[in-house]
Amino acid sequence: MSAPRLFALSIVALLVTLAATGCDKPRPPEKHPTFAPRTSAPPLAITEYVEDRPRGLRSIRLTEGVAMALECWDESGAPCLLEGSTLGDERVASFRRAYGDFDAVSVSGRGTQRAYLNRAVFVVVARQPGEAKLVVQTGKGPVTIDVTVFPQKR
Amino acid sequence: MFAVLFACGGGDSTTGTSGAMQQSSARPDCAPNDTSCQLDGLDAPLAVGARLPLDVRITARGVAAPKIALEAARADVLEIRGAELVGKAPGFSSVLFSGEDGVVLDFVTLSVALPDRLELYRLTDDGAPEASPLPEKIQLAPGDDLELSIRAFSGATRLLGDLDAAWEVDGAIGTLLDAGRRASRRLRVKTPGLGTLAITTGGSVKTLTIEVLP
Repeated sequence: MSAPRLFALSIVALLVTLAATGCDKPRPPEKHPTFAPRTSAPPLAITEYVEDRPRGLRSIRLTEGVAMALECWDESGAPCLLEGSTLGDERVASFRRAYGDFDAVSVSGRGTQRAYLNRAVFVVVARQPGEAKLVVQTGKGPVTIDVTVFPQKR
Repeated sequence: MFAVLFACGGGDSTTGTSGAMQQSSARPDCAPNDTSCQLDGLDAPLAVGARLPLDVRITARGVAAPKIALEAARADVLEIRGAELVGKAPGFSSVLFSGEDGVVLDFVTLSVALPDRLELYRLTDDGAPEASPLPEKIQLAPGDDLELSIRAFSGATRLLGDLDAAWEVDGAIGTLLDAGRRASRRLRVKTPGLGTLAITTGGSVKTLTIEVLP
């Protein structure tokens, strides 16, 4: 096969591949709810947040008796609404809305449209060892977080 | 139950214990000139059986004097009575500071420990304990008047809080007066002789031998 023919076949093959994979269109950025701890654990205790997004798993791990503050953003990057969030077993842990002394976040800025919203913070309070489901209402849909409370070391 | 603790906005966060969210400062409610108490925060565990009145100040920007409610994560470790914390059992518990609408403004985590000994302190006129506890025996003269307070220890750590206790003194050498100052009594000696002051709390007894010299 001559060099020009080989080159032309290569170009065709490349174009076919690109069309098949859709590389000619830009992919939208991944969007998902986000949580971030805002406090740390005291000595002899744990306050941890763990997530595995591909599997849709989120968990909060606490020692009994301690509280933990977390900040929440919905899938569009806006502060979560939090209204209507529930924690399944209040004997194990409690959900409380919290106030965060943070600067407001800008969530849109297209042209003349801009909104500065209060940041969304909540507190999970570990009461006794056990497991419970926390359902956080983000405003763009609910997100479930497994809450596990471990006993204090005696 | 809401505790009527009027917190001042923009309070001095260099004294007291900062809340976990860095939006408050908390310390024991102190006598005005008890300098060490004013500067220290919640720097020791609370004794089991002791009561600790709490002074909470919200230091978040632009926040002025909200009414604050206290809530303990573990009521079996820490009980809330109005503006006081009461140690119930060894362990630790977060204490939430919430506004009237239930929104959490901040929280601190306190330990509660079982005392292993008691010490007796003389109080100054301002209600502050002296730096060192009294020895096992003291000498006084007739007419001497001193105010005493009992404090709990666990090892080398002086525990926080005021203990409810029963005070008794040999009637011949002096009189105990309850002037209303928390966890303290005023001892007024009158007659030369040797006697014993005994303070009983939570199954423990602290004694002081008093020799009244003519």
